[in-house]
Amino acid sequence: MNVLVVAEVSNGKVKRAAFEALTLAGSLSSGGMVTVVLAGPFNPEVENSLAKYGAKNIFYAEHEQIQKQNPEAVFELAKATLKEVKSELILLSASFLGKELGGRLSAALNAPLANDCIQVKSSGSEILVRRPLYAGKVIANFKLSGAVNIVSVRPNAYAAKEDSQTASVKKLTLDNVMLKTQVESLESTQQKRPELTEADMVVSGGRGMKGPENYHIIEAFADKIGAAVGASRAAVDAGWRPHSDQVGQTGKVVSPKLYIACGISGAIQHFAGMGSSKCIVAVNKDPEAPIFKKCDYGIVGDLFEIVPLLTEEVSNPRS
Amino acid sequence: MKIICCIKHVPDTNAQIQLAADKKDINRDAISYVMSPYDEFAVEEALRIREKNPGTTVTVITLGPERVDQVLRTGLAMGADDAIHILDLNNAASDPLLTAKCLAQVIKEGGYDMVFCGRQAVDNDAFQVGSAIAVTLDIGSITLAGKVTVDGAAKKVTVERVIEGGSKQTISGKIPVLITAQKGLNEPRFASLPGIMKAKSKPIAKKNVSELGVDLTSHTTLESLEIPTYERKKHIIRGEQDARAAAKELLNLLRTEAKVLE
Repeated sequence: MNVLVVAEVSNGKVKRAAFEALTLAGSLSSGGMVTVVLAGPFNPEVENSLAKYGAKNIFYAEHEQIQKQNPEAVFELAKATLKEVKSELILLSASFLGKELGGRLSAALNAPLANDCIQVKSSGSEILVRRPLYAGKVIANFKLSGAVNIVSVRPNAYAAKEDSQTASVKKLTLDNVMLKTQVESLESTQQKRPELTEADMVVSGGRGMKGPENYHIIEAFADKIGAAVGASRAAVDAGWRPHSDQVGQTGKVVSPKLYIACGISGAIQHFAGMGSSKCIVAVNKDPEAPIFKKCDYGIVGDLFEIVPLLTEEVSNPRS
Repeated sequence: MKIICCIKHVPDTNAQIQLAADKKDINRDAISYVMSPYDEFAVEEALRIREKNPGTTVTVITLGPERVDQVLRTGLAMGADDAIHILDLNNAASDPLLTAKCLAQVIKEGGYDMVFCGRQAVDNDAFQVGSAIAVTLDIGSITLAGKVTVDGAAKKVTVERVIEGGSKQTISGKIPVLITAQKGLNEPRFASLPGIMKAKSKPIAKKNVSELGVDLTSHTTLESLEIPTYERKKHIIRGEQDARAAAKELLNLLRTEAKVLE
């Protein structure tokens, strides 16, 4: 089948989740056309990296609203691309943008959508997916049987593998499209840490952090090991950390290979957001904290003592 | 202005979820329900816009079986003027795309200026209904709103939002428009006792999902549900006496046993 992949760009580079989607597209297409819609500015490095992971067609638009990451503009570009290359499956990354595009495209194409999938298979022309419900308390198996099916794939669910192709590149214009929304400004922040939902490792702090002024010890450890920084709902509701850092049912769902929870008791709401992590570590002074019953490794102790020692000792490979 | 908020009755986020015998639904017997948390931000924002724009009305709407009336009562108790219940006794429109089409049909008939939704409902986490309503209605939509400014005279809304990577985006659109609410948009009010009393006498209009003229063919089939289980080692190190030894032991285990650290 022909597969359309929407590739997101960050700071001029294609995001890893797009390579993961491309790898999946390659295996599901079984020789069909794999087409990329570029959700950002085009440059030769973007072309090379997409071709390296299996893109045969790349469509992009030099449109100010695409540069500014207007979801509506990307939606219009995806629709324009589908007119050029008919595709039976649309693969998105399960980012905010990807999931929104899924919702928009499902209505525009009258096509079934499964967002945030952790597994995607094909069975004839049908698509079988596994996706979490209730922020991961439940896993659902769905069958999609539209003429076109739409799936967004959770970052880290599939590994990206190189599969070099020669890609043909085509520029589309959106000149005759009247956008209903306009991005007036985009303030890009240069992230020094990995994105929470895409990170291999996450270090989170909860109520036990006692205040916003103490998060530097979490950040120092996270930066030492290259981890993202998260927070529990208690810490966010107290105003210590931004909403965008919240891990849990009303925040972000993460699935890193290592999740370190510091001063987090382990409410069911929090587990919903990180319970599928490969390895869970807890640091908590309360030996009765529920998190100790659901972690791989735990230290009962004062996090203000333990975490700085972890930061110090992790540089020593013999420790 | 006429504002409508799409809200959903969902299991409390603190609920332990178990499956029904046929593994096609959760066991709903002992579940307590709440308004989906993101929908609370949506309703609150609509009420605040009404306060600033005299003559504005706020309607709450939901789709589902009889029990979902309760979420409309909650919305009315928060301060909404009236409510619409699209009755779906047999879950004929529970596919989010069909939910969106049904909601869109009723919203179209009512001629609303602004539509508010939560960014997603926290039960099936589809992240689909809001955007799909807007496309069906052929109106603009802005997701994940962190701040909403309405210019009634110019019929323009401006939304600030935080997207992936922490970047801040400002998006504007013309009314009619659909907006989905992100956490942090506001602090939702609690329903007051007088609000709850008043809500009892406010009207809830009933429509049947089969009377809307929407094609209810679904291309999504739920095959089965599972409760995921994760085996955890539960290796607990006591670090009260010798914190450094505990830290070293943990790092060693992460490197040699779990192999998740270089």
